[in-house]
Amino acid sequence: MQIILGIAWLCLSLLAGEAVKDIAQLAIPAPVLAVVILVAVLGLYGRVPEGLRLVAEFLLRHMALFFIPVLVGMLALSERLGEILLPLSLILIVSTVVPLLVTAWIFQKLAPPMDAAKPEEPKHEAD
Amino acid sequence: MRLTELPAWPGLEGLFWLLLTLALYRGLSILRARLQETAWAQPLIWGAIILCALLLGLDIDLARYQLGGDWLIYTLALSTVSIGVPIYDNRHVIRAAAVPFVTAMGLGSVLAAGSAVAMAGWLDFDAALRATLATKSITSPMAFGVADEIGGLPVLAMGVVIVTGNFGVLVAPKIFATFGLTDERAQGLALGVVTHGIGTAEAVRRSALMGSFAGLAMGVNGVLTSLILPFVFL
Repeated sequence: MQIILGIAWLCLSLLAGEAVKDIAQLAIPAPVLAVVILVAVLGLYGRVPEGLRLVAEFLLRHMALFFIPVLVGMLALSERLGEILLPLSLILIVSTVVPLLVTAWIFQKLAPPMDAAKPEEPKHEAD
Repeated sequence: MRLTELPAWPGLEGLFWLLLTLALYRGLSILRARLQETAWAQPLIWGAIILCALLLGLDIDLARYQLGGDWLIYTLALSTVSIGVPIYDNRHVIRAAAVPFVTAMGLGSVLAAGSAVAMAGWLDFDAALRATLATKSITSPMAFGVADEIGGLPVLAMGVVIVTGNFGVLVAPKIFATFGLTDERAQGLALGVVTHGIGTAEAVRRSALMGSFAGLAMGVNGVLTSLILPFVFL
């Protein structure tokens, strides 16, 4: 029964997402709107219902299984992919390495140190 | 609706491919646990490679695999909504360091998508490919829907996100070590924004703190980028 309720929570969020998308004529996927709605409702509700947690954790833990058929579907694009394989790889390498570095660096520069009580190593560079 | 209008019944052949997909996922998951290796041994990637090799080797039409495979794809929307639960669970994370969190996440996200789209422009990729690459800093289930909305190729968008995630997880430890990025929160944030679900799983394995930053960054960044991209592209 809890699992049914959990699925109902997800379906109701999706339904609300679809409704908002239709009414507001948005080009945003309904499941993304549904995430926003679900987080807002959980905030009002004050906790995650047990059934919802069960279903959500199952779906998230095994998401890789559900995506295998999507990746296999890339076979339909194999000819096109073959033509752009090298430039595409180059793009993916650069646009992965650079943001990994920059994102972590910015946060580390801006965020207060985690443990303020612990004396920090003296810094030599001025920043 | 008449019974004949229901989604294609998988039939004997579809059920075979469905079961084979399940068996591969289970087997590869066990293998990964045995190897104690998460970065290289992704059941998703290897499962898809083995299935593609089978279909190509035996000269079987993709549509016949999809008779069974499509049944797993129907859960995509529900999986996406489920991301709301970890976002809610980790909401406290953002309170402690809201400004650095949002600044780093926003810049990282714009850089990941922007650098890909800009390079695609220089390399003369067409509009559909550029729109597809724009979704690369969104977690894969959301990228699928967004690519569809902005005129990209949904299947390729997911493939790009998944490949990025795997590659990112492999190189991230070296990048962090080389540049002295030792803050676990910073590492989690970067993994969540750039390498999505695969990076978040890796972050959870390293520490709870890193995992909660990665999970929240993945979810919030996915939602924000999904909300903004359609306005930029349409």
